[in-house]
Order: sequence, then structure tokens, then C-alpha cells
Amino acid sequence: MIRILDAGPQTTVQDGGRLGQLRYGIPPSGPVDRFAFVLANRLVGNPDGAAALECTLVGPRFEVEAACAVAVTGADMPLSVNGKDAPRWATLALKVGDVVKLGHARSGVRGYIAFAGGLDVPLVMGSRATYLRGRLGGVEGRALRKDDRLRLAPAAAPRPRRVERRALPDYGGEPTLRVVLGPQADRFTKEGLGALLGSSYEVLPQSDRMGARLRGPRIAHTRGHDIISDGIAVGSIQVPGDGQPIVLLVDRQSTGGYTKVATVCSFDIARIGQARPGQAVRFRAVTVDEAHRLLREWDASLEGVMREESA
Amino acid sequence: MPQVMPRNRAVIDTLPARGARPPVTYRYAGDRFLLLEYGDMVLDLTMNFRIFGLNDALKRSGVDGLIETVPALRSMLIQYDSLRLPTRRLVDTLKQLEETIASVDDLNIPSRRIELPMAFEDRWTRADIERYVKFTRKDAPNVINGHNIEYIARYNGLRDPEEVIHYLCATEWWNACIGFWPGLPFMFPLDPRFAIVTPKYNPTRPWTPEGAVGIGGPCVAIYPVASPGGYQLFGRTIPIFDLQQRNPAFKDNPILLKAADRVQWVRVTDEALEAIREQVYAGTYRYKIVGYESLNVKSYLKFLESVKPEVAAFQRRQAEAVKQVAIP
Repeated sequence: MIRILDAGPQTTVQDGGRLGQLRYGIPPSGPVDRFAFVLANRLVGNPDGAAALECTLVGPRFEVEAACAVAVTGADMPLSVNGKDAPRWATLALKVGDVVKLGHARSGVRGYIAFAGGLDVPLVMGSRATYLRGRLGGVEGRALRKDDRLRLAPAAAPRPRRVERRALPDYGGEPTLRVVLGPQADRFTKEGLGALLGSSYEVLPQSDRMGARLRGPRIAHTRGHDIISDGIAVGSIQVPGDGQPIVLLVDRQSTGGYTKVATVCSFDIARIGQARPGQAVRFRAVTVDEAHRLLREWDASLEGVMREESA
Repeated sequence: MPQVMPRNRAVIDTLPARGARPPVTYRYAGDRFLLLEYGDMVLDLTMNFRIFGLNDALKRSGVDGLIETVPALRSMLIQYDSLRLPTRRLVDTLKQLEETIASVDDLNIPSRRIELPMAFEDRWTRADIERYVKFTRKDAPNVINGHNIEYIARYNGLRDPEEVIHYLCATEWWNACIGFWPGLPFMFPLDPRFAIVTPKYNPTRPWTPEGAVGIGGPCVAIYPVASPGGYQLFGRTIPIFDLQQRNPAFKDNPILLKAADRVQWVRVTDEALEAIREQVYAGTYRYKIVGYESLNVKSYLKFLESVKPEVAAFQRRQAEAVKQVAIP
């Protein structure tokens, strides 16, 4: 059991996602940054999709009511246990009464906290992930609050490990996101596509788990921005009439009637999800074959990055 | 750094029209999704029927690496495991399936008929429409006598709200797809003689009661939960989404309506609706669902042909009416 002392602005329970429900209008939810989420779970010996916490810009403070192991990954939020600095991207053994605190993110947006055994909240339509807009999953479909208590599923103590420094992501700078053009790239002018691929776009504070809203040079349409609604892939770059792009993320609506110029590759969703308001991003078009090669590399990048802690 | 623009920007492949089969376009949607489209960017229910035929054939094909499909009006989004199922092989499989599925005329689509009680011009939607006028737009032209239904009448050249209600109840409503919100159906009239249309709210309405029913363009939607919305409201029905699964209708899935269901409105009073809603949550109300009949597309197309003159006459009446009406 853990008890939330201070929840932070938006801390939710997420798991591998609510898959196979998009045809009923229900998005997958799950972590925005799958890389950090999966490694947090592996550090505590969990399956990749076990339920853990995702926090946003500022982390929570919580008290441990039974000994357990945790791992904190993702955004660079200063981590302390009982007021003393503790390492991130590493297995931590906690005892009863320990108070864990994650501070303001210095870079990145979303932090992850995995607990050995995983968080034991009810399954809703096959998943524990919180879908805030639909008010379902997680803890009563909402973000955590002070005094929420979360049960952990029983688990053996994991052997302590850490992620190697070389594998740690850098959330700063101006990331270049790889995109595959389409589905409706043919509804944009040459100048519009040139703007998308040749300029930088600033992340706006209105961004959330549904979509990252961006501002930059107008991505102009050839003949209107309305289409007959179709299904929306994660990473779709939707461009409404104002020519400003929205990258749709894990809590996106399942269908929509705006043109979509390109799709951010699945392996770069984490990088747009970790870009802070005010930070700039760029887009680079790749062919679908190149995208699949990069996807294979990304899959491999999760392997062989953890080392046993020396005693 | 200058970039080389890939020559083929959006389209992976196409299949030209042949006989009764519409042209097919296969589009890129990132490294794990593909979008398939039938015909042109126009509303045509026969394209929707063919989507159901294809979806069914794709599921039966047992192609390895398929994750999920999202059928929409004339398109289908396909999520696939691209490391196991190369894009080219998926497209080739889809093209082959086009040769095997029956032409639209020969399709029989399994479809349930669901009768839903509806309180037209009810007091709950009225309350949220009045709130909209008070707090959002005082001069909203789409609100007349505190509701949208009179506006729907004027926009379509119908006499009064009673005639709107008659039109809405005179046809079954085809649920072409679910989308945008958990369990939200996008429904179209199967009888085009009663195809009313409306523009949407401007700006959108911050409040809509759960179970409210409205129309935007030619499409009717039921709001599964209380939410903002942009459709012109005409009434309220019973719950179509219940995560707490308080009624046997939600036992297997908290979402009541599935794609290819047909909905028939049955007029009730506000008081009757309120009583039924209580029975829904008490678990004693039985949703009126006629399980799988099938929609025979051939006889449906024959029916469409037979009503063409009447449809054209109504469209002329609508075109005249629109000239007299302010757009929100």
C-alpha cells in the first residue's frame, strides 16, 4: 500500500493500454513515453505493461505503508527518499514509513514510478489505464488526489539494477521527430508541406495526453480542411483550418473530420510527449521502410541497457 | 538542411473501379497504421456497407499481424504489427480480398434493430439550450422558443416541430460507425425521403445532457455522457453507455450500440422517459433489441431507386427553405 501525500498537478495510473477498443471510440491511453515506462517496470521486475504512475511536470509525494521496491524514470524530476537524494533509473528498496518525493521536472514532462508487483486497481474494459476525458480506468477515472491509497500486487523483491548512463534519453534541445507523410498529405500545398518539414514548431501549454498543440508557420491546405471523419492513428498530425498542427497522442479521439498531413512514428511519440511547453520541435519525413528499420532499432534499444548494481 | 520530398506523399497504392466495385485508395498512416478508403469524399452509405463486407473478410482471412480495425463511414483504419506484417504484404492481402468479397449488391450485412424511447423537445435538453443562450450566445439563431427543434423545422422547410418528429420517426437510423467519444454512434437515415440536415452550433455548446440526441449535417448522434457538443438537439433517450453495467444490456460491454445497428425512435413523454431511465439503472428495463436480421443491400438499392423522385422533391424544398434561415 502507498498513500499519496501530495499528488502533483496530474498523476495517473497507466498500464500497457486499453487495446482493441478504438472501434468503440475508446483510445488506448497508457504511457505517453513507452520507453521510460517499460524500463521503470523492468527495473522492479514487472512485466512491461504492469500498472504504474505517470506524473506531469511535477511529481507526487507519497508514503510507503509496506516495504516495496520502486523505480523512477522519465522526466528529470529531482528524487528524494526521506529528504535524501536518491537515484533515478534504478531499483530502490523502500521500507515502511519511507516518504518519496519527486520535484519539478528540469527537463522532460512525464515521469514514471513503477512499483514491484504493479498497482492493483480494477480492470476496466481489460485495462487499468486512466482515460481522463472518458473518466474511466485507474482510480475512479481521475487523476490522483491527496490521501488516495493504492494497493500493490504481491511480488518478490527484485534484484537491484540500474539503466546505463549511455541509454538515458535526453529530453532537452530541439528534437527532430520522424514522420511518415499521409494519410492526407495530398490535401496540402507544396509550401504547406515545406513549412512542416522545414521549420520549427513550439509546443503550447494547452497540450495534454490527447494531443500536443504546436505553433509555427502555417501548414496551408489546398482545398479545405474538412474530410468525412476517419480513424485516427496515434501520432497523426491533424491540421485544422488555422494551419497549426496538433500531434494526437494516446488519449486522442478515435475518429475525426480534419485533414492529417503526416504521422509521427511510434518510436518518436515519447519525444514529442516529453517536449515542454515553449520547447521547439522539428519534423523530418522518412519512408515507411526507413520507419520500420528505425522501429526495429528502437525495439532493440530497450534490451541490454540494465546492469546489476554492485554491492 | 534541405530535404528530399518523397515523391509519393500519401498514397501507398490504388485499385481502380471495376464494375460495381468503387475505386480503393490505400494511404500511409505512420509506421503501424494504414488507412483504406472507398470511392470519393462524399457521403454514400453503399461505401459504408462495403466497409463492413471488407472488415468481415479481413477478420476471416486470419492474416498474421493484424491488431485492430476502425471502420468509419467510407474508410477503415488498420493497426498492424509492422515488424511481422510488412506494409506491402498487408496491401497485397487487402487488394486480393477485394476480388473475393461479394459486390455491394450481393452483401447481406448482419444488423440488429434497436427501439429506443425518445422524449422529443424534452425538458433536459431544453435546460442546457437555455443555459447556452444565457451564458454563451444570446442571439443564437438556432434557438427558437428555447429549443433547436423549431430551427430544424425551418431549415428543412418543414411545417413545425411535429413534422420534424414525424420525419425522425419515419425512418430507421443506420449506425455507420462509432467514434469520437466512447460509444458515440454516427447514424444516417436509411430512408432518404426523411433525410433532414442542419448546420452545427457556433460556438459549440459547453453542456449537453447524457442521452441527448442531436443532428449535425445529415448525421444523428446520441451523447453517451454529459459533454460539450455542436449538434442541434431534438430530444433525449435512455443510456447507451454505462461503465457500471447496471443493466443486462451492458453486461458484456458498457457500450450498447455497435456499428451496423439500426435505431428506431419510439416517442414517449418526459415522465415516461424518466421512469424508463430509472428502470434502466435498477436493471429491470429490457432494451428492445431485435437480434440479427440482415440488411440485404440489393433490395435496399432497389428501394433507393424507387424513392428517387420523392427524395429530389424534398431536397428542392430544403434548398428553398435554407435561403430564409440564418446560419449560426
